Amino acid sequence: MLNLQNISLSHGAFTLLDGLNLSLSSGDFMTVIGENGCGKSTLLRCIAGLHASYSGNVTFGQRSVDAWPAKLLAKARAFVNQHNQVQFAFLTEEVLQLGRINQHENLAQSSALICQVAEQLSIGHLFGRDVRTLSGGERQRVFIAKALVQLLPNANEAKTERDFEGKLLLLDEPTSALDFRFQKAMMDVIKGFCQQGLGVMCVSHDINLVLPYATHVILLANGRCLAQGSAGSVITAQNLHQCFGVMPKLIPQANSVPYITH
Amino acid sequence: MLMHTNVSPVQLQLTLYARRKKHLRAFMVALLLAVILLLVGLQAGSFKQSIGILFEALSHKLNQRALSQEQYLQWYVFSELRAPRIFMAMFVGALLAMSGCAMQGLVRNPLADPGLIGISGGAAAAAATALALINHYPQLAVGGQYLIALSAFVGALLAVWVVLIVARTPAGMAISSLILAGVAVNALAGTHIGAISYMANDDALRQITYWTMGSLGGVTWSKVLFVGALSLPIIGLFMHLRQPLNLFALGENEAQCMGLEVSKYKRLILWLVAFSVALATALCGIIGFVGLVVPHIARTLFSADHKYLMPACGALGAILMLGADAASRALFPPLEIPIGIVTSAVGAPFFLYLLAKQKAGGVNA
Repeated sequence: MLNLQNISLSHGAFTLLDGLNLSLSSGDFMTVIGENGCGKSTLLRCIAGLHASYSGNVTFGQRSVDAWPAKLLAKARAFVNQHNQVQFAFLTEEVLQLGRINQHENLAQSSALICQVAEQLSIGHLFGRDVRTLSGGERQRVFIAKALVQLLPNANEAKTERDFEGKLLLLDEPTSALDFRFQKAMMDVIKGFCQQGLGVMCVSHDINLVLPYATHVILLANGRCLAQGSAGSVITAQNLHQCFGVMPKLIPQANSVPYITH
Repeated sequence: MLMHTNVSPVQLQLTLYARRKKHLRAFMVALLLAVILLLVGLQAGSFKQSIGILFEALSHKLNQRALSQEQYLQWYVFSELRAPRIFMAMFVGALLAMSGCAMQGLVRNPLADPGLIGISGGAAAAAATALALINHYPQLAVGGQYLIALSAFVGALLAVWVVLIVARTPAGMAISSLILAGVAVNALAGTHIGAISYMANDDALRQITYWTMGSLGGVTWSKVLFVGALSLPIIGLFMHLRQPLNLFALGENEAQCMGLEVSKYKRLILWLVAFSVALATALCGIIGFVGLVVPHIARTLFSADHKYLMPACGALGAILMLGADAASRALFPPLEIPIGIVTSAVGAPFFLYLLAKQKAGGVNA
């Protein structure tokens, strides 16, 4: 579904990404891990089509990501930024409605989809509220919901168990503002969508939270890929030491994904 | 499933329908207000219009009977002086307010004004130059009006063009440099006007001052038709920008990811704003604060959703200008205050109030 070949990007003398290769299939949950400033967000922005000046190929669904018509691409991939700010008094449901902007459907159809997602992320009680007055975590949930709403097929397309087949969700620290309960709940919901075919690429610093969900892990250091593969093979004390410069303790767990601590 | 929050799709749908209906109702009230102001506007001024006599005159005209002198005078003042003004006020008000709405949406700042990117500064500098030239070379006075309007229009677009060139980066137009370049161009225009005023004689100086205060005086049907013919497609384009502006409100990255061609729309919005404000300014001089204040009022009365906000701005802008025009004639008859003074006298304190409120609350309407 998603294929990156030899992606490099530099800003003046500073190299942000250096020859990255990776691929992602429908239903995959890929976690990107690395120290601050190693190029994680830049990588996501390249894949989202927000950076024009990289070299190499980003292929998404058989064609280059830059060759997609903008509106069509918006129905197939969504990007949740690290920070989301709205300057005007938009209501929660109005933000979610904007997620359906490229679809030809009536209010009843879009309302049904919005409510479905809102219920899964439990933001229904935020309807009618000005998004600027929401807490950071609430706003984060609203924007993740908006991204999911954006990817949902419309009612005219055949409804299947694989609603999200071939669709891509890019998450930049999706749980950074979420509380203890919603961190796990959010991951569960997203994993559920992966089972419907959604491909997810998730940047996160909360390694212990995301690792059990990840089918693929990629370790980045200075814009280069240190290691990639399954969590079990990538997450070793040596790799993490190379990536973060400190030696972690790995506590073995029953599910073969170790728990990492200082 | 995380939690049972009982959101029913039917309920949401009904809420959204109800909101649409509420806005429609408010829009109707606004239109009613416009009609009332239209009638008040007819009455305002040193010459009192009588609706009764106007109707008589109209029926006589339709039946091709001769008018009495009183009827003729009433009809003349109505059809040649008041009516074109009223239409001009509505078109200009709608253009300025919708431009303000688009500008604020684009830069994501409710305190933005179309003047920010140098439009009115450029127009004023060019108009002042034209006025001084006409004063110096009397042979230019024949087409003077048109020369002033044309140079104001060209000056406005020229200023915007300079601002856009300066603000252009490889990654697209940067809003912050756009605003800074606008500040610089406005300052330059101010200096230019200052220099011309310093050298101009008293007559030219008075004309320049009068022009920068804005006026609906001397509006003719041909001007109204000209503005009207251009306004309708412009207003249509502004309506087309409603959803793109909603996406801009979420931020440029977000808008891009949701399928909006951000740089294309940014250019379209800026040039559309420049063109419509240049048009209004060229014909009526500088009329400040309409573009700033009306979107605020509309946001409070209606919603921040540009689907409703944009048409509301058009209607309220027209209403505000009708009111300001009526006030400019009614306050000190037989004197007519320049309309720019009326709008600024109301708008500037309102702007201060908004600033204070923003500082206090951190959240603005």
